[in-house]
Amino acid sequence: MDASRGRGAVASTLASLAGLVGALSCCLPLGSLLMAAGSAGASLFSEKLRPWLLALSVAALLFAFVQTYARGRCAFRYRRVRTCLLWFSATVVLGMLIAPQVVSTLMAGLLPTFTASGTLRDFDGASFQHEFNDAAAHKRLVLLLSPT
Amino acid sequence: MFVIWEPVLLTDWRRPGGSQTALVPDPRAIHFWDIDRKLSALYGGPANLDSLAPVRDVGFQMEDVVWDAALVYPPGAKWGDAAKILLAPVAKYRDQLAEALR
Repeated sequence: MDASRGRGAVASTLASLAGLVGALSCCLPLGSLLMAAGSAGASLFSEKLRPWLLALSVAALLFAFVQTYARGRCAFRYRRVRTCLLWFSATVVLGMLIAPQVVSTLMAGLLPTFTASGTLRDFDGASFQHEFNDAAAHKRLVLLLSPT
Repeated sequence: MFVIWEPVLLTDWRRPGGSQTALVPDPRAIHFWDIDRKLSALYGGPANLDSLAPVRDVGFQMEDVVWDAALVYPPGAKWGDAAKILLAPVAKYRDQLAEALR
Protein backbone atom coordinates (compact mmCIF):
# COMPACT_ATOMS: atom_id res chain seq x y z
CA MET A 1 0.00 0.00 0.00
CA ASP A 2 1.11 3.55 -0.68
CA ALA A 3 0.35 5.20 2.65
CA SER A 4 0.72 8.74 1.37
CA ARG A 5 -1.88 8.10 -1.32
CA GLY A 6 -4.25 6.68 1.26
CA ARG A 7 -3.80 9.72 3.46
CA GLY A 8 -4.29 11.96 0.46
CA ALA A 9 -7.60 10.34 -0.36
CA VAL A 10 -8.82 10.69 3.20
CA ALA A 11 -7.65 14.28 3.36
CA SER A 12 -9.40 15.21 0.16
CA THR A 13 -12.59 13.53 1.35
CA LEU A 14 -12.45 15.46 4.60
CA ALA A 15 -11.65 18.63 2.65
CA SER A 16 -14.76 18.13 0.56
CA LEU A 17 -16.82 17.71 3.71
CA ALA A 18 -15.28 20.83 5.22
CA GLY A 19 -16.00 22.72 2.04
CA LEU A 20 -19.52 21.41 2.07
CA VAL A 21 -20.10 22.53 5.65
CA GLY A 22 -18.86 25.96 4.71
CA ALA A 23 -21.10 26.03 1.68
CA LEU A 24 -24.09 24.98 3.74
CA SER A 25 -23.49 27.46 6.48
CA CYS A 26 -25.65 30.11 4.92
CA CYS A 27 -28.64 28.01 4.08
CA LEU A 28 -29.26 25.83 7.10
CA PRO A 29 -32.88 26.25 8.09
CA LEU A 30 -33.11 28.13 11.34
CA GLY A 31 -36.69 27.49 12.16
CA SER A 32 -38.51 30.73 11.90
CA LEU A 33 -40.23 31.90 8.78
CA LEU A 34 -38.17 34.91 7.93
CA MET A 35 -34.94 33.54 9.22
CA ALA A 36 -35.33 30.48 7.05
CA ALA A 37 -36.55 32.41 4.07
CA GLY A 38 -33.63 34.78 4.24
CA SER A 39 -31.04 32.29 5.30
CA ALA A 40 -29.06 32.72 2.12
CA GLY A 41 -28.15 36.16 3.33
CA ALA A 42 -27.62 35.24 6.95
CA SER A 43 -23.95 34.79 6.47
CA LEU A 44 -22.67 37.12 3.84
CA PHE A 45 -19.17 35.88 4.20
CA SER A 46 -20.19 32.29 3.48
CA GLU A 47 -22.53 33.35 0.74
CA LYS A 48 -19.73 34.91 -1.24
CA LEU A 49 -17.55 31.90 -0.71
CA ARG A 50 -20.21 29.28 -1.38
CA PRO A 51 -19.60 28.77 -5.12
CA TRP A 52 -15.90 28.42 -4.46
CA LEU A 53 -16.44 26.05 -1.57
CA LEU A 54 -18.72 23.90 -3.69
CA ALA A 55 -16.14 23.87 -6.45
CA LEU A 56 -13.52 22.92 -3.89
CA SER A 57 -15.74 20.11 -2.65
CA VAL A 58 -16.18 18.72 -6.15
CA ALA A 59 -12.48 19.02 -6.92
CA ALA A 60 -11.52 17.32 -3.68
CA LEU A 61 -13.99 14.54 -4.32
CA LEU A 62 -12.69 13.98 -7.83
CA PHE A 63 -9.19 13.79 -6.43
CA ALA A 64 -10.33 11.28 -3.80
CA PHE A 65 -12.05 9.11 -6.40
CA VAL A 66 -9.00 9.15 -8.64
CA GLN A 67 -6.81 8.21 -5.71
CA THR A 68 -9.18 5.48 -4.67
CA TYR A 69 -10.25 3.86 -7.89
CA ALA A 70 -8.16 5.01 -10.82
CA ARG A 71 -4.83 4.33 -9.17
CA GLY A 72 -4.67 0.68 -8.30
CA ARG A 73 -1.79 0.99 -5.91
CA CYS A 74 -3.88 2.79 -3.39
CA ALA A 75 -5.23 0.51 -0.71
CA PHE A 76 -7.85 2.98 0.29
CA ARG A 77 -10.53 1.13 -1.67
CA TYR A 78 -10.24 -1.87 0.60
CA ARG A 79 -10.98 0.04 3.71
CA ARG A 80 -14.66 -0.06 4.15
CA VAL A 81 -15.11 2.88 6.51
CA ARG A 82 -13.06 5.23 4.38
CA THR A 83 -14.81 4.11 1.23
CA CYS A 84 -18.15 4.68 2.91
CA LEU A 85 -16.96 8.14 3.91
CA LEU A 86 -15.97 8.88 0.33
CA TRP A 87 -19.33 7.80 -1.06
CA PHE A 88 -21.19 9.57 1.70
CA SER A 89 -19.32 12.75 0.83
CA ALA A 90 -20.07 12.27 -2.85
CA THR A 91 -23.76 11.76 -2.11
CA VAL A 92 -23.98 14.83 0.07
CA VAL A 93 -22.06 17.05 -2.35
CA LEU A 94 -24.20 15.86 -5.26
CA GLY A 95 -27.32 16.43 -3.21
CA MET A 96 -26.10 19.88 -2.30
CA LEU A 97 -25.70 20.71 -5.96
CA ILE A 98 -29.08 19.29 -7.00
CA ALA A 99 -31.28 20.14 -4.02
CA PRO A 100 -29.34 22.33 -1.60
CA GLN A 101 -32.27 23.32 0.59
CA VAL A 102 -33.41 19.74 1.12
CA VAL A 103 -29.89 18.61 1.98
CA SER A 104 -29.31 21.48 4.37
CA THR A 105 -32.64 20.76 6.04
CA LEU A 106 -31.72 17.10 6.48
CA MET A 107 -28.34 18.04 7.85
CA ALA A 108 -30.03 20.29 10.36
CA GLY A 109 -31.72 17.22 11.76
CA LEU A 110 -35.15 17.96 10.40
CA LEU A 111 -37.22 16.28 7.78
CA PRO A 112 -37.57 18.36 4.65
CA THR A 113 -40.92 19.95 4.25
CA PHE A 114 -42.50 19.10 0.97
CA THR A 115 -45.81 20.78 1.67
CA ALA A 116 -45.81 23.72 -0.62
CA SER A 117 -47.14 27.01 0.62
CA GLY A 118 -49.58 28.12 -2.01
CA THR A 119 -48.84 27.81 -5.67
CA LEU A 120 -45.82 29.13 -7.44
CA ARG A 121 -46.62 31.31 -10.39
CA ASP A 122 -44.39 32.72 -13.05
CA PHE A 123 -43.76 36.37 -12.43
CA ASP A 124 -45.39 38.85 -14.73
CA GLY A 125 -44.74 42.52 -14.04
CA ALA A 126 -48.11 43.84 -15.18
CA SER A 127 -50.23 41.32 -13.28
CA PHE A 128 -48.04 41.71 -10.21
CA GLN A 129 -48.57 45.47 -10.21
CA HIS A 130 -52.29 44.89 -10.64
CA GLU A 131 -52.46 42.53 -7.68
CA PHE A 132 -50.30 44.86 -5.64
CA ASN A 133 -52.69 47.75 -6.26
CA ASP A 134 -55.75 45.57 -5.64
CA ALA A 135 -54.46 44.92 -2.14
CA ALA A 136 -53.85 48.61 -1.46
CA ALA A 137 -56.31 48.62 1.42
CA HIS A 138 -53.90 46.48 3.41
CA LYS A 139 -50.35 46.62 4.57
CA ARG A 140 -48.22 44.62 2.13
CA LEU A 141 -44.92 42.88 2.37
CA VAL A 142 -42.80 42.20 -0.69
CA LEU A 143 -40.00 39.69 -0.19
CA LEU A 144 -37.31 39.11 -2.81
CA LEU A 145 -35.52 35.87 -2.04
CA SER A 146 -33.06 33.45 -3.51
CA PRO A 147 -34.33 29.85 -3.38
CA THR A 148 -31.07 28.60 -1.92
CA MET B 1 -47.63 39.08 1.21
CA PHE B 2 -45.80 38.75 -2.09
CA VAL B 3 -42.87 36.39 -2.17
CA ILE B 4 -40.71 36.68 -5.25
CA TRP B 5 -38.17 33.93 -5.71
CA GLU B 6 -35.39 34.88 -8.09
CA PRO B 7 -32.16 33.21 -9.19
CA VAL B 8 -29.20 34.94 -7.63
CA LEU B 9 -26.76 32.36 -6.37
CA LEU B 10 -24.94 29.71 -8.36
CA THR B 11 -27.15 27.04 -6.83
CA ASP B 12 -30.38 28.75 -7.93
CA TRP B 13 -30.49 26.88 -11.19
CA ARG B 14 -33.97 25.49 -10.87
CA ARG B 15 -37.45 26.62 -10.01
CA PRO B 16 -38.04 26.53 -6.26
CA GLY B 17 -39.90 23.48 -5.05
CA GLY B 18 -42.33 22.93 -2.25
CA SER B 19 -39.57 22.73 0.31
CA GLN B 20 -38.55 26.28 -0.55
CA THR B 21 -41.96 27.88 -0.73
CA ALA B 22 -42.91 26.12 2.50
CA LEU B 23 -40.30 28.27 4.21
CA VAL B 24 -42.86 31.06 3.98
CA PRO B 25 -45.90 29.17 5.25
CA ASP B 26 -48.17 32.16 5.69
CA PRO B 27 -51.39 31.31 3.83
CA ARG B 28 -51.61 34.91 2.63
CA ALA B 29 -48.32 34.54 0.76
CA ILE B 30 -48.44 34.59 -3.01
CA HIS B 31 -45.35 33.01 -4.49
CA PHE B 32 -43.78 33.99 -7.79
CA TRP B 33 -40.82 32.59 -9.68
CA ASP B 34 -39.09 35.55 -11.28
CA ILE B 35 -36.53 33.80 -13.43
CA ASP B 36 -35.60 36.96 -15.31
CA ARG B 37 -35.43 39.05 -12.13
CA LYS B 38 -37.99 41.43 -13.57
CA LEU B 39 -39.12 42.82 -10.23
CA SER B 40 -35.60 43.86 -9.38
CA ALA B 41 -35.46 45.60 -12.75
CA LEU B 42 -38.84 47.24 -12.12
CA TYR B 43 -37.44 48.56 -8.87
CA GLY B 44 -34.52 50.02 -10.78
CA GLY B 45 -31.96 47.59 -9.43
CA PRO B 46 -29.66 48.12 -6.47
CA ALA B 47 -28.67 51.55 -7.77
CA ASN B 48 -32.20 52.74 -7.07
CA LEU B 49 -32.54 51.54 -3.48
CA ASP B 50 -32.59 55.10 -2.15
CA SER B 51 -35.87 55.85 -3.86
CA LEU B 52 -37.60 52.64 -2.84
CA ALA B 53 -38.10 53.55 0.80
CA PRO B 54 -37.31 56.55 2.99
CA VAL B 55 -36.19 54.22 5.74
CA ARG B 56 -33.67 51.64 4.72
CA ASP B 57 -31.45 49.27 6.52
CA VAL B 58 -29.41 47.31 4.02
CA GLY B 59 -26.72 45.23 5.61
CA PHE B 60 -24.85 44.09 2.54
CA GLN B 61 -23.79 45.24 -0.88
CA MET B 62 -26.17 44.21 -3.63
CA GLU B 63 -24.32 44.03 -6.89
CA ASP B 64 -26.64 43.61 -9.84
CA VAL B 65 -29.96 42.57 -8.38
CA VAL B 66 -32.22 43.53 -5.51
CA TRP B 67 -32.49 40.40 -3.38
CA ASP B 68 -32.80 39.04 0.14
CA ALA B 69 -34.79 42.14 0.82
CA ALA B 70 -38.14 42.98 2.36
CA LEU B 71 -40.24 46.01 1.56
CA VAL B 72 -43.18 46.94 3.72
CA TYR B 73 -45.86 49.08 2.09
CA PRO B 74 -48.48 50.93 4.15
CA PRO B 75 -52.18 50.76 3.35
CA GLY B 76 -53.02 53.08 0.50
CA ALA B 77 -49.68 52.82 -1.22
CA LYS B 78 -49.91 52.14 -4.91
CA TRP B 79 -47.34 50.62 -7.21
CA GLY B 80 -44.58 53.16 -7.70
CA ASP B 81 -45.02 54.70 -4.26
CA ALA B 82 -42.21 54.37 -1.79
CA ALA B 83 -42.32 51.56 0.72
CA LYS B 84 -42.47 52.40 4.40
CA ILE B 85 -39.26 50.52 5.06
CA LEU B 86 -36.73 48.40 3.20
CA LEU B 87 -34.73 45.83 5.11
CA ALA B 88 -32.01 43.46 3.94
CA PRO B 89 -30.95 40.79 4.57
CA VAL B 90 -34.27 39.46 5.74
CA ALA B 91 -32.91 37.15 8.42
CA LYS B 92 -30.96 39.89 10.13
CA TYR B 93 -33.94 42.19 10.45
CA ARG B 94 -36.72 39.75 11.15
CA ASP B 95 -37.62 41.43 14.44
CA GLN B 96 -37.85 44.85 12.82
CA LEU B 97 -39.91 43.34 10.02
CA ALA B 98 -42.32 41.77 12.46
CA GLU B 99 -42.58 45.14 14.19
CA ALA B 100 -43.20 46.96 10.92
CA LEU B 101 -45.93 44.52 9.97
CA ARG B 102 -47.91 45.05 13.17
